[in-house]
Amino acid sequence: MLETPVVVAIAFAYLGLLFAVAYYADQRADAGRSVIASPYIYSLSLAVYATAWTFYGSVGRAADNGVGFLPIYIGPTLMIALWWVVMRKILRISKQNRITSLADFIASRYGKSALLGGVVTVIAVIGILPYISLQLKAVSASFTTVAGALPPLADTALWVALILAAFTIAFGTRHIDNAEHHEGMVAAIAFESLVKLLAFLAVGAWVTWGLYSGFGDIFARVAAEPELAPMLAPFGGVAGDYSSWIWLTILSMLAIMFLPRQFQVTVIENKDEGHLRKAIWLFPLYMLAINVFVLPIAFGGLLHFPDGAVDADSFVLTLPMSQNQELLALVVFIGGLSAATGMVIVETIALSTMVCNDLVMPVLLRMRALRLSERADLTGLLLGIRRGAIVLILLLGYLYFKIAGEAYALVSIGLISFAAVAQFAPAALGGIFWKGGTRRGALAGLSAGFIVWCYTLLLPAFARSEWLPIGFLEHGPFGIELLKPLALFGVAGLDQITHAMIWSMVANIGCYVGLSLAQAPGAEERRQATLFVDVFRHPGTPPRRGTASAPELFNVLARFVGLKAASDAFGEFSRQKIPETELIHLVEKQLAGVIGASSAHIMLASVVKEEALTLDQVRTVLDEASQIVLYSHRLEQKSQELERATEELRAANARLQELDRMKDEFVSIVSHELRTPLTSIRSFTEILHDNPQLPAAERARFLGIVIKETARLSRLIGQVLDVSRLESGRAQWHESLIDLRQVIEDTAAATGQLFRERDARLLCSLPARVPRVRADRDRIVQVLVNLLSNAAKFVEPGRGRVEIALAEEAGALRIDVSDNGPGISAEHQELIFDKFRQAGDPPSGKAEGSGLGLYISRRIIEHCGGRLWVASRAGHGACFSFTLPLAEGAAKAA
Amino acid sequence: MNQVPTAYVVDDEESIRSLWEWLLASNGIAVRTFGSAAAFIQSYRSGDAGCLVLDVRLPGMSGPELQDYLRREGIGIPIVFMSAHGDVRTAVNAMKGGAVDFIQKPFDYREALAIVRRAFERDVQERSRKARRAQLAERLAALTERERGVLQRIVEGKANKVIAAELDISVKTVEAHRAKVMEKMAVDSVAELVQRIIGFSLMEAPRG
Repeated sequence: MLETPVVVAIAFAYLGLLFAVAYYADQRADAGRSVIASPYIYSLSLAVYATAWTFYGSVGRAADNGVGFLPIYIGPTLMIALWWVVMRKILRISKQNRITSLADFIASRYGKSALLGGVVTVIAVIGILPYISLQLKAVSASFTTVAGALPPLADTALWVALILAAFTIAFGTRHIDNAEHHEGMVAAIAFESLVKLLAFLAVGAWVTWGLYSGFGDIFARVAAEPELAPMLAPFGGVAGDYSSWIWLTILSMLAIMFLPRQFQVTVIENKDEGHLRKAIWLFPLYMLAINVFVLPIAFGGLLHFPDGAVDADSFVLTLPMSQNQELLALVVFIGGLSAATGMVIVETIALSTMVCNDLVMPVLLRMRALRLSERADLTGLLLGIRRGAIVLILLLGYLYFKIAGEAYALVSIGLISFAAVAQFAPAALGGIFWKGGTRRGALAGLSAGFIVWCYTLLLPAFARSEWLPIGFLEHGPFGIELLKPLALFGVAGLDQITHAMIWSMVANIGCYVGLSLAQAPGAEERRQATLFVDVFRHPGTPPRRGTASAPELFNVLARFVGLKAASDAFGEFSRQKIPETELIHLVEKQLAGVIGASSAHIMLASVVKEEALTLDQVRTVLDEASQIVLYSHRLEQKSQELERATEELRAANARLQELDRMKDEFVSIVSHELRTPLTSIRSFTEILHDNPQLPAAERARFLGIVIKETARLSRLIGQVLDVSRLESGRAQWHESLIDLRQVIEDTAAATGQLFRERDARLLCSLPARVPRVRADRDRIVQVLVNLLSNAAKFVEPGRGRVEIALAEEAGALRIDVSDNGPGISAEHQELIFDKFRQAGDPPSGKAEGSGLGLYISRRIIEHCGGRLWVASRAGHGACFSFTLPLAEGAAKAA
Repeated sequence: MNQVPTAYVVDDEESIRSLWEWLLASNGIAVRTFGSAAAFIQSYRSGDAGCLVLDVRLPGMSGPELQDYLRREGIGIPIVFMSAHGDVRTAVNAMKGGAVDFIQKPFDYREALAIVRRAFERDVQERSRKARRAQLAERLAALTERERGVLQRIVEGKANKVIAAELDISVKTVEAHRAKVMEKMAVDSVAELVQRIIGFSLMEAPRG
């Protein structure tokens, strides 16, 4: 037994040293040379996971269950392997949104809901109380073991609570940092992690090699004891069935993520995402190191105190004490103190931040009577709230210790807290991977899980401590067996934690998923969901709608962060030339760093004149929300549009090339058609010129050919020009009301010579009167001449018979020119309307046409609104027909 | 077989046909004109001397199609193409197909006349080469098996002794065969004999 004052003095000296470390780190941070910007310090700070529970409790658990203490450390090791996926995302989200706590994180995700933040805070505080009480219990018990009861006021735990509260306040709430960074605290925690590890290794080594002679010796002795031997079996011990192993592993996997202090050191205090890489293997290494000697110490204790008179939780202390190794005992005491203070400091700071930002401030800000939003400086108020929260939380922890602490071993107390924070998992993990999760779902899930937790873990703890009738446990409330807290709905045979976890998770996940699916998320929720889930895809937050003047924003910021910090921030804004419209958003981010996202949201609402939303704007807001979702969609669409445009261009190009080819072909054909008559003309004129003595008959014949070919040439040129005019639309039309009957008679008379030459007959069957049509008379004559001369050319000389008929049909006049020539085969019937196409030679010899006549005729008739076609069977003559629409009102006039 | 060299003109233009008729007839060249490829095929007998003046663009079977048809049928009449199409591709294709010349419309009638005359000369040469080859083939056919063996070795430049050894006959016998071969092939010297045979093999070699 050591002198009490000596122990007290050493304990205070140690706390002083911690404070010095923290002070030094803060100084360095202010000087811009952070000591904690290192993956090693970061990994050591994560080891705040190992608390008095690990330090004292693991040995206690091992003494009961053998390797049964292990799942608590296997879980984090497994979980951390997934951190590159999960934690990196949480880190990124938190940095982008300036998240200040776990409650802030969840509240932000579900549309910056103040209510949700409050619920998370309440659950966290109540859930963590057992855990804090565990630390108080461990510290006071270790103190009593080392130094005996404190004489003046025997309640050691209360003193411990008060001292720790004072220390935490000194540590964590010296000033308000607008990013909630506590560099000094992190440095101190890392230092403590080192101290507790070294202390535990020291006592472990001493027991293994000092008290006994190595691992082999201890395990051999245990194997020799019939009562202890079963502990060596894998999964040995009492509560060692597989399901509880699995559940404890899952529980601790979730705890390493969602214990408020773990969230604080892992996420909020993180300086660099890259630190995760080293932590992913360093942290499991730490877990391994601090667990190596658990079994040897536990077995050593069991062997040394065989009668069970000594609490196994205190073996690390009682073993050295029993051998009068007082210095070692003191080291162990300091190690345990480290483990407990580290946990209490970080946990209470994290909780006080949550209580302040997510519970008290939103309420205060909403209470208009307080006129808080008009007060000049709120930094003092913030600090006050946090300090009060710290004292309150530690006192509540003390109260829990008083009420329920004695009934449970350290580890069992801790597991109750683990089960409480596990309730955050569905909302938090679902929130970063599933956009469908809604505020209502998260609220319901959290509440349901928490209620089940209270019912199956918290109330039984009170009952066991006789604060509730024990019958409540044994027969259920009001004797309803189905509702027995330890065997809900008749599910019995599980250990208490497994049972509670199964039911609370069923309720939690069921409500979260069910309600999320039942109702679509609102615009704000959807926006936040996109920001969280797609954090790696498009960084940055969409700006808030509304307007506020810079001075107003400055005042708001100054109230919470102080004049100097606000001036610095605005100085930075103006240096970066940030437009005023984005100021609201930036100030909200700054504020969120101090008072959390939901409080910042409310706070700014008081100064930002949100534009009254018209229906149109609501739609725009909704669009904006879905725009982010559709961002990648649109990119995809854009590229598709581009592809389509390219395709269209390619098609257009192909059409142009085709047109170009057709033009080339046309030019080529025209030049061919022109060269043929030119050949005759040139050669014959040259012959005539070179041979003046040619007989007169020859000369006449040659001149005849030259004249004929010249006529053909000029006709051809005329038609080519005609085609070009018709195709380009430059043709001149002189339209008038014409009497087709008259036109036909005139044309028939004009072409009479042609028919007489071929000895063919031309018959006209025309009605007495027809309505007039509006058309270019010369053009219609051109068409008629073309059709009649074609017919005349193709009929057999001497037996030819061509008939021209005119008739009125629905709204049009129809002209048929039929002959008894050779006819046109079906395959040629459309071809003959192409340029330079001829169906064949007439019986009288070579067709003298250019191959353009029918093409031109069809274009003329189509221009007049009519149709030109041919009906024929090879060997049975051909009938060319065309229609011309009647002129408006012509039917009556006729 | 028509032995009077005749210019066969195929063109669908009547005036062009009139032109050729007068042009050739007045220069003492026999001429026949056709309005289409089919009409020409109907009246032309393989082996008739002369040349074919062929328009590229014809109704029905086109000029190049007629050229293909004649080649397939083994009819070797020289072809002169004419076209109002000025494009190089048509000309190149026609020449590749074995045409001897190409006339572009409108043409200088004197030039056209000269081209037809050159085609006639070409026809004459071709015919005499064919005749010589036929004669040689006839003479070779008259040789006995043994004589052909001796001839082959003479051409390869082997001495009588070597030939005798190879054929397992006496030198005297070789000399007798040799004299017989010279007689049958109607040559006066070994050099002439070798020249004939080599010329023959060259003619037999595929054209390309």
